[in-house]
Amino acid sequence: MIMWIYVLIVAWFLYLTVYNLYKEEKPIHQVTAALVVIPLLLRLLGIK
Amino acid sequence: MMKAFQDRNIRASILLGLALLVALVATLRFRSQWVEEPLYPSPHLTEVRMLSEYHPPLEGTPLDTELYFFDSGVPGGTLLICGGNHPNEPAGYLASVFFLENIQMTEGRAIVMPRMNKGGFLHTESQEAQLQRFRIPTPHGEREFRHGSRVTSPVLQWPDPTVYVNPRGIFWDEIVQDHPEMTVGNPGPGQQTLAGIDSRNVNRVFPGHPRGTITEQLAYAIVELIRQEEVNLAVDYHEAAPEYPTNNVIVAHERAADVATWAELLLAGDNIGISTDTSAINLRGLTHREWGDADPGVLPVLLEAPNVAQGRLKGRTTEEQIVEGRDLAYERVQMIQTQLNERLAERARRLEERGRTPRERSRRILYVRIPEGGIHIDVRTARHVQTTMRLVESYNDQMAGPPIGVASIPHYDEIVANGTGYYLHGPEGEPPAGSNGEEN
Repeated sequence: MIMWIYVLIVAWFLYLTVYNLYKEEKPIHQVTAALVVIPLLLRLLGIK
Repeated sequence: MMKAFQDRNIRASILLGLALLVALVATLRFRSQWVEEPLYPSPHLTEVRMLSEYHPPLEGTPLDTELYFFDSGVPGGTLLICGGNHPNEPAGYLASVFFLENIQMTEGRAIVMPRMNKGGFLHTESQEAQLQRFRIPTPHGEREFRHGSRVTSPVLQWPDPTVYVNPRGIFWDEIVQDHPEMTVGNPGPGQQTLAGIDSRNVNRVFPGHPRGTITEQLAYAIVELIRQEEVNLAVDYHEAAPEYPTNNVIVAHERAADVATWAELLLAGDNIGISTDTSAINLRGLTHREWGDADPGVLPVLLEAPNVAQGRLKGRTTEEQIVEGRDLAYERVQMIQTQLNERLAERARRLEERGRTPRERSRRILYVRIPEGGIHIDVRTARHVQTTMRLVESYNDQMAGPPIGVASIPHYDEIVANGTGYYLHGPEGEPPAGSNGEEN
């Protein structure tokens, strides 16, 4: 159960990060968001 | 192209694509560590079982592990050999593989469990930039072995608690109800608290719990294996950083202390310096403590050898560091250690000349002397192998239980001279005969 709550939290953060990636105006902020996508995605898929 | 990049949405899509590409490459890399390297058991293997036979909920999970049985057919005791408790301690893993691929029993039987915590083999130590693999040359070509982490992968068990309390502290009433013998000479549930990450360290969660976390269930299954198979002597292989005091040592449950001490003397005859520590009664969750408390019939010991790749003082991790045990930073620390002790000894001598008592004559930074050229994995593995053989000899000498006979294991000097790889099997054929013909 606690694992599923954790997965939902990670999924929510991933959604917010991708949302920001498209909403940010400055390229440097978009690059930062793209970098954050990588670990969140790996975590969500149970890779690392 | 540049015009397209000025559009915010196109830019975001390109960056997202790049992020997905990096994630894909990382995925392939991380997942490659989930592929198990093949092991080639000795021809005297009689049976392979899974640990889940002793705790069915483990079946089908990544932590279910193979148990290799070598039964001589002659009545006698049972020897349990465990590697991979901490998969970032390569000589421990290699020593158990060495036995798996070379052992022949003449009395009683042996159970070899080379990958105790398979969940630790699936990833490397977090933020340590460790290598995923190391290679050992064999007559059949190079063999790769995974270099994992001391804890179960967080993919399998997460999140960690802020503070970890061993299952004894939480389920004591239940444990005592099921196994009243565990109260004999025991300090009770204990209130030991550990860092949250230790909830995934199988060597802190014994005796485990049947409905606990997956690591606690793994520990419970191992304790059930020891109980149900009536193991007499259990050996658990480890390695430690050179600045860690528990090094080149046999840590023994108090019931196994006599066997360990006699083995220490026998090892002195092999020119192997080792000492015996008795397992601390208040340090809960470790194999040498909990296996002995859970089953009054078993004599559990834990062996430690020095490994610079685990140390806090090491330089960049390389394969040479893991295999050759050589590290320039540690060689420098050894130099500082030698100079420091020389100065302290000189100061003590001057104080004594003036009739005063010196406060200290030496101070330890390292608990193991790092020789020039390092401590090779062959030496560390050979130490574990020879110590196990002497423990069996000591166990038989003292008639500590039904006799255990192990044949076909080369002596320490031979392993060091020829290298561990010389005695490992390959897919194409048998290893060279390495037996010294000596029975223990």
